[in-house]
Amino acid sequence: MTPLSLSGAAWIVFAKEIVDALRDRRTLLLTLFGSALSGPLVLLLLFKLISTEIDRADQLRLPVVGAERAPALIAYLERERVRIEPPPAEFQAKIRAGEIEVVLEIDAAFESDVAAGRAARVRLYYDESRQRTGTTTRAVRGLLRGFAALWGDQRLALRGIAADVGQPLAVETINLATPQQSGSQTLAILAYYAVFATLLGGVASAADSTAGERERGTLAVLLAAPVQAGALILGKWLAVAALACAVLALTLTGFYLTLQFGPVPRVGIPFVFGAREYGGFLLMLLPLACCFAAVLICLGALGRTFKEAQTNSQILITVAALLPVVQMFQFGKEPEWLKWVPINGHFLLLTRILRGDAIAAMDWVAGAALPAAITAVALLLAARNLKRRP
Amino acid sequence: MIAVEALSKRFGAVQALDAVTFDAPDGAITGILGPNGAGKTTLMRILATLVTPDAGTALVDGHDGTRDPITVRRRFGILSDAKGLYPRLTARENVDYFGALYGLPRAQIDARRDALFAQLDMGALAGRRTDGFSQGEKMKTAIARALIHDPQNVLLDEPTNGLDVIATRAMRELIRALRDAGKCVLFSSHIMQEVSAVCDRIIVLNRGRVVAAGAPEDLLRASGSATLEDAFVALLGSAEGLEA
Repeated sequence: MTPLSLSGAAWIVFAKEIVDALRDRRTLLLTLFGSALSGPLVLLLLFKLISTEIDRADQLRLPVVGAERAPALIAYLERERVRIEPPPAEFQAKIRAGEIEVVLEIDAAFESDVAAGRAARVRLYYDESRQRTGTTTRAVRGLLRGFAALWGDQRLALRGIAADVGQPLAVETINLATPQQSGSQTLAILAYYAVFATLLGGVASAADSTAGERERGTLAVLLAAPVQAGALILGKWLAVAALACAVLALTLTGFYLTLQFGPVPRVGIPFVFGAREYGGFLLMLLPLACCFAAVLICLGALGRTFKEAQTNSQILITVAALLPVVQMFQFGKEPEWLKWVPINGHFLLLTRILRGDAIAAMDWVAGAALPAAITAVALLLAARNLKRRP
Repeated sequence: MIAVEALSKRFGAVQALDAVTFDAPDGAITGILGPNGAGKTTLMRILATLVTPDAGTALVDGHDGTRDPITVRRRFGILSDAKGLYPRLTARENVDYFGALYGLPRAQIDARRDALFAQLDMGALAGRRTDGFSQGEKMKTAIARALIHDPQNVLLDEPTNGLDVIATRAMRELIRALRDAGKCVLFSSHIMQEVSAVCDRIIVLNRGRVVAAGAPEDLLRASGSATLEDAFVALLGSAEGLEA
């Protein structure tokens, strides 16, 4: 019998905890489904939504009341690839019910107004409370405006006046967002799930290897072994952190595969999730995974029962998972100090990686500094408590 | 060999141990008998260096557990009441884990574990996960775990709790075999019949104090009773807590 070094004992504990956790198939499957599968799944649903929007904008169907009153307008719309349809009965009720999105009504006095030189009326019926109709309504309005402008230009031309006279101001819009930036807005969700996977990956094994050990009656035997409590905690922490990192890596792989081989919409996702982003995500979240594993181990060592440890962990997870959500709804620019805050800072830096921004050395430090400090405190506290309450 | 000298421990208002003194020599089975709450578990925990005493010393083969806990732990094999095992690990893995934690080299773990499994007649159990084990099978695994490092001192805390007749018999045989191999065996129980069946010497503990110590015959003589049961009742002042 030779005395074990701290790291020697920690590795023995680490190896045992990994084997033990990998044999817990049910928990493993639940964890994998909760993070590695649900992330890509949400992404696929999002893609479907975007594709549907694009299809609808491409193939506009427009029910028109009194189409026969304005043949020129109808011809213009048909040239712009709009399918003109007869209006359904009681269309207003159907719009409210969400069955149809928008109906164009051509005023009964359209022809007489045109003949008299008055502004002719058309009405657009829609329900603003329905978000999905926004795209269609915008498209129809744009087409009507286009027709009005063309008509006006023709009238001026008949009178021998240049079209520019009627349009003294020409507005050009230039969208400065790079294609990658506009895509990454939708994909804040990707950053969110990456953070979430980091949190979720170690929960079960952390509770099992601390409070579970106490509940099963193995802790007293373990503490009676000629090994320091610090070595036990160190080994258990490394195992939980490794599992969390594995779940994170799997989740990122899921994203990578979805974006490489999934039904990615033709437009709208012009960003990359390649090797650079994969590596960046992993490196950025590594300190967070280690920190969270330490906090979970600490909660487990403090808890008297498995149930108590699990409840405490769940509260922590819930709060932690809500933090980035708050951020998603905040539309202003985040302050620079936010990157030092665990979870919120990581979320912020991950979205920057996605946007293709350069990540400075100080940003990496910001992502690791506080988590490292919390890790140290949590592990010391856990070792002290494990010893105190066998 | 265990030498306990004036050991005291207080938890809040409860004086768990009050100047407890006794010896447990090598090659003998020493029983710690006392009703629930007498201080047996606290004593076991202090010996196992899980709890620090307020006063007094507990020397294990001459080593003080408060000063050198790691050395003391290596000299102890502990079989506790709970007999907790890792349910997802096989019997072999449960035992090997502790062999590694006690610092044994791989080859020695293999040899020692195989010998113990053969002795305990559990060759067929070795590769099975312990979550389906019967109480007796769990007990055997826990024994192999406690003895994997061939400790000179063996602590048995209520070892026959929850065991059927056959397993209890096997347990007694094993305890006697340990004594015959020259080990110091400390056996704690609140069941008089258990203690009197195997122990060479008995320490009777009540409310944290040693109320009697000696061979079963000595206890009979000291109490002036005809049977051991009467002797214990007389020593404790009541029959409470003595029955299983």
